Amino acid sequence: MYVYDDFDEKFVRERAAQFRDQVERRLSGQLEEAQFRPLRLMNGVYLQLHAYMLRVAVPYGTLSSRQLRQLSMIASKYDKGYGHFTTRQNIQFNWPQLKDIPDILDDLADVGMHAIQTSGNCIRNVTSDQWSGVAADEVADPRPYAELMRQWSSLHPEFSYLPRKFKIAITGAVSDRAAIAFHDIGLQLLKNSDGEIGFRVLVGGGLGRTPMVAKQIRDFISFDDLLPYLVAILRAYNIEGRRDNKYKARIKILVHEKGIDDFRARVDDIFEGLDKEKLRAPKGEIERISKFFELPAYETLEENSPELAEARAANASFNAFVNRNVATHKKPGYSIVNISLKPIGGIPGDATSSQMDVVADLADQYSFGEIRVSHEQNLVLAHVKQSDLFTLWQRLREAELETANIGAITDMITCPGLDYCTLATARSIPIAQKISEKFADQSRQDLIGDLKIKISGCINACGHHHAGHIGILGLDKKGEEYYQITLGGSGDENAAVGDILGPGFSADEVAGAVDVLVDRYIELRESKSESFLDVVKRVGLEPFKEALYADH
Amino acid sequence: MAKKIKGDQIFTGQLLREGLVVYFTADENWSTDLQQAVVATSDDELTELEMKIESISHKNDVIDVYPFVVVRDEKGKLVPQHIRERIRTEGPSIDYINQPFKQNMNAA
Amino acid sequence: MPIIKNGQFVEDGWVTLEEGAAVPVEGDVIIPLEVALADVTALDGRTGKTALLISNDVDVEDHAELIAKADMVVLMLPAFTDGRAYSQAMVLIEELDYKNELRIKGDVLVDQALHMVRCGFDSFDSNHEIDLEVWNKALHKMSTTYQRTYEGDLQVRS
Repeated sequence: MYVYDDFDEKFVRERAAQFRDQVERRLSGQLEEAQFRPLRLMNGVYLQLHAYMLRVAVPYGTLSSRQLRQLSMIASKYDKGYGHFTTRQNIQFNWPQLKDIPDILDDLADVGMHAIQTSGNCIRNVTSDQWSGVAADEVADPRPYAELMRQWSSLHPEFSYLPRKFKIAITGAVSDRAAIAFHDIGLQLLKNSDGEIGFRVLVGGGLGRTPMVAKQIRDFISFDDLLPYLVAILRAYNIEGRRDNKYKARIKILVHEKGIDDFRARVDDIFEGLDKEKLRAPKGEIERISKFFELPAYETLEENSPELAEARAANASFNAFVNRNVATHKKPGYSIVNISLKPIGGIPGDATSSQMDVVADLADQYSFGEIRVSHEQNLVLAHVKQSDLFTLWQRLREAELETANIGAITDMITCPGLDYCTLATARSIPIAQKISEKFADQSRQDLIGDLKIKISGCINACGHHHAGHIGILGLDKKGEEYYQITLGGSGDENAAVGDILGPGFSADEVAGAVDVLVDRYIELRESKSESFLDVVKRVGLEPFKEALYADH
Repeated sequence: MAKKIKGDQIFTGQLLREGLVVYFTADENWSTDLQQAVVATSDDELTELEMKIESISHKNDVIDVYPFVVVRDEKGKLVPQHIRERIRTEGPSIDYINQPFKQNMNAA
Repeated sequence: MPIIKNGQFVEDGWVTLEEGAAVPVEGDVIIPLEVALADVTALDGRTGKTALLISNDVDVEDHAELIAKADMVVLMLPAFTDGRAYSQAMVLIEELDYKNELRIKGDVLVDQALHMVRCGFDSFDSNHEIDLEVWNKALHKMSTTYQRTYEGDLQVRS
């Protein structure tokens, strides 16, 4: 993975020092809150319901064991001993004090990390496929390009005060695990007929109160033109994006109002006029970055060792874990191990300091010291020998990290909701906990198969409810929490926005309503291989509405 | 400033340095204890409190100041009327430190 | 407020044309773009210097000819969170090859000063009282950058 050179380190340390100075000026009263707020946001510092919150960037979701241990240390020293992994592959600390944050940023700089642009109306952390580099269906590893974009977008002088936030996601695989169609810019790595690497470019996707699936603006842009083309899109947006209404300020609204063809023409016009040579990555830079992402020194191994088959046959819980959490690696004899942060009845995406330490140790022992964070709020060890799987599973079990539910109904994306967030209108976590407990039974989860529930505590949709096979949106009705259910959303390569089923439910009713929907699905499906989403697509909402509202 | 909502109101904010939630008290200070808050029972009192907060010298120490409605419970203690403020006063409603991890229900 | 240029407060000889006033022949005058557009001949035969004041909803590319004649362009920053002037500046410089003085006027604050310099602004007309020492310090908090724009003496990733 990428390691900072002297230049990167100097940059991040200077940025931390710059923020320290800004905090000092704020605390002494030289800087007013209105002037300070955008500055702190651009360093990931929010004021939440109970305290400040610090969001630390995990660029494209890749961490070293050393970095994860440092995050654990920060959680223990400055917070309450835990952190929350987010849908943007970042980690949030819920209780830091403003006066300590400059020290935290220094601690992060010690391990090549930062909180730059994890909030604010600027280019945010570039996200990617958590299986980058090892997925069997990958054209090329997107992380070198993501790192290049991280550098290019850091403190960009022209694009630091955009109309609204700007999120870029990139995938190198055919199966989209990075939800690129729900980003301001989505990039899909491709090879053209000459074998040249380039990108399919999507623009104007997003969730929030106006969910939109991104539209294609270019079918192929060469690597050389990537940064200039991004400049052209960002410049068109910075100049023309709406600033009169916060809720209409994202690029998706501009693209929607202009139409993709007019927007493309505008971008092309700017692109043609650019001094592209000046905007391209320096010569040799992508090669330099790519070296850091060369795959580790794998051994030559047989796929599916007899020991693994034996262990699976002997231990049903381990077998369930392999079935749900272990994915195919492109190298024979290796596997991708997904560690669920969704224990039954737990808080989705939370990890304690000691769990972070355990995962860091396991990464060192079994996965070349590297950890990934997924946008579905789980962790990944991307290079595990199949012969180590059983031992690894036992170690995960000791840390209560062995929940076998990746992609299952209890593996829910959940925003922090009204338990933490100032914007929330209702709680999300207790809803997830109730659903999780209702579907705790492993055999029932297996029977149901792949089903993605996504829960947001307000219309801003941080919990991606629009993209959930079952989406749950928490709202406030005269001081009471109530929840609206949508069906048929999807965040993958067939991205779709879910449709609202009907009247909402109280907090106590939601888990029961999900139960009814799931039972209806089981009745309706033609075979076990027909997923919940397939059935919704085939039969529409009516049979589900009937099941839910017949008694009401 | 905030809308005038019917009901008794108190002013809250958060400490600039620490971020902690505080309430404006009768002795023109800020306390983390809701029960210490000074209650405005009319629009005039609310305006008066608001002006007082504006005028105090340590104004910079507290940010995000706004009023919210409180009621009294059967023991006479102040309780925020809206769930948002109740959670803000009492902390997250979930067991966030000692998470109820698992169980794997059909463990071997 | 005095103008900041090269890290110093400078005495400014420019006068901004008052609303409804005719464009004088003499003197260094800042003329709103709309006035210049309403009567293009008003700029001809001036003996003093001419600056254009351009609001941030204007597509500067549409006014290349006028801008080419300007001794100074003043772009507006109504709120420091409104970043349109940064892109206007980049278009002026990169696409229209504008080389004269480029001023930013309005909610100009020290914490955005480096971004402004890096987008090619070289004079600053702030609504606020600026502490020059803090301003100059803020300009030198970073010595590194990943973008090749107006990098000055910043070290650029290469």
